[in-house]
Amino acid sequence: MQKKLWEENNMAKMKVSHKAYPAWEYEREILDLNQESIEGWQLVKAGCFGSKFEEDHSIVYRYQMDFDQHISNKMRYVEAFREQGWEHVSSTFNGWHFFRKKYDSKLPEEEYQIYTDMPSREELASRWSRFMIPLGVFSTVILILCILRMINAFEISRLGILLEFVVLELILINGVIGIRKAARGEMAKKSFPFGRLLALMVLGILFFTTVATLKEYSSAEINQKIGKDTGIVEDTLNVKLPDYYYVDFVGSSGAAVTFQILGEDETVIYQKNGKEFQIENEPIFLKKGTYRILISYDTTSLGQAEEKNCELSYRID
Amino acid sequence: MRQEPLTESYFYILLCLFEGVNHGYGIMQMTGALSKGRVKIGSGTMYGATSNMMKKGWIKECGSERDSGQERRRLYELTDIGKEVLLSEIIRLREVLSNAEKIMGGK
Repeated sequence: MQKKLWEENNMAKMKVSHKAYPAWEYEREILDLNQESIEGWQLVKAGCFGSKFEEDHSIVYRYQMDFDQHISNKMRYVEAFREQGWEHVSSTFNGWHFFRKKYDSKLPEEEYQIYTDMPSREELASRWSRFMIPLGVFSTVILILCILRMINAFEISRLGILLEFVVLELILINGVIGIRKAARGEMAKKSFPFGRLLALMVLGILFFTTVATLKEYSSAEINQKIGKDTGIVEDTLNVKLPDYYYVDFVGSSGAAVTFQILGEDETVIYQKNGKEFQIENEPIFLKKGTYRILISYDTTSLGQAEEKNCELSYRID
Repeated sequence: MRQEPLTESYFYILLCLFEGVNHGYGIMQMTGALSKGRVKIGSGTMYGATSNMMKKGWIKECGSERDSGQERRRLYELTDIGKEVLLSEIIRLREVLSNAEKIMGGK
């Protein structure tokens, strides 16, 4: 009992802050860390989505952040900072390094900068921007593919995915411009609602994935041969999501064919007939419900040879 | 390819090493003294510059020494290439300065 009390009294109070800063607001993060230190909270461990602080009112630090993912010699790196009074506090897995120096009001502000000329400051911004290139390329490729697909076959349910990638691209562009501004000492006026936007995008991804899955399950296809006694082929199409659907039909036979899509009340939503025709990627807007697909063949006029070549295949999705 | 003008930080690092082998802290102090406190080379700038210059072959590490405070400090020395770069830069600066005096009459 006594030992437990002693342990509790000697444990420094800790707190976890879940403030998330986008990379281009690193200067704002530094200001916040400096303020926390004044209020008695010293950074212990930094993370992308939360940092650990330890309560200590006996000292005030000034902080600095560096971005470098490819430090060839970690010892030489830390020494370069230590020799000017900077203590390495923490490093994140994605290349941000946190340093602190004891604050002394007698020293000029320059003492609390790790980058002392514009070219080296801009190099920090360049390093981060280069890090974003793979993501930018990936996002652009996906975006182009999405747009091309939309031009070819417009679907409302795919609009969401397209929107997400447009937003991602805008965030990346804003980030590259923003970090350059921050490195040059021009801070953005308002803080970016990064946490909120990220949460929104995650929700968006979940929502649109659900929508896309519903669309996936709303499809029908058949691929079979037609015999002399086939006559009618029936199928059901369960539309779980109102959207644009695309009809593909190939009816290769010498016989007359009628292709129909019927609604729940037996109304003819779509119909096409002829002898040997194809429907290629034809859009049709379908509301939620169960549809009947009816294909009727008139094989009475077919000879034996022709019958062998009768094939039917369609796909609606 | 023609050499780009050096930043003040780069110039002073090379200049200080021309004087002799030195460590980062010593370079920083000497630079401050030579420029009468005007030029400061922060840790990030110093690390970036030394890394870059080592990659280019202008300087190289050459052991370490223990200073008065028992801290082990990494030492750098100027290479022949680095010396060339420094001399070229000084020639460029002389040219620039003499042109300025020519136009503005040494005012």
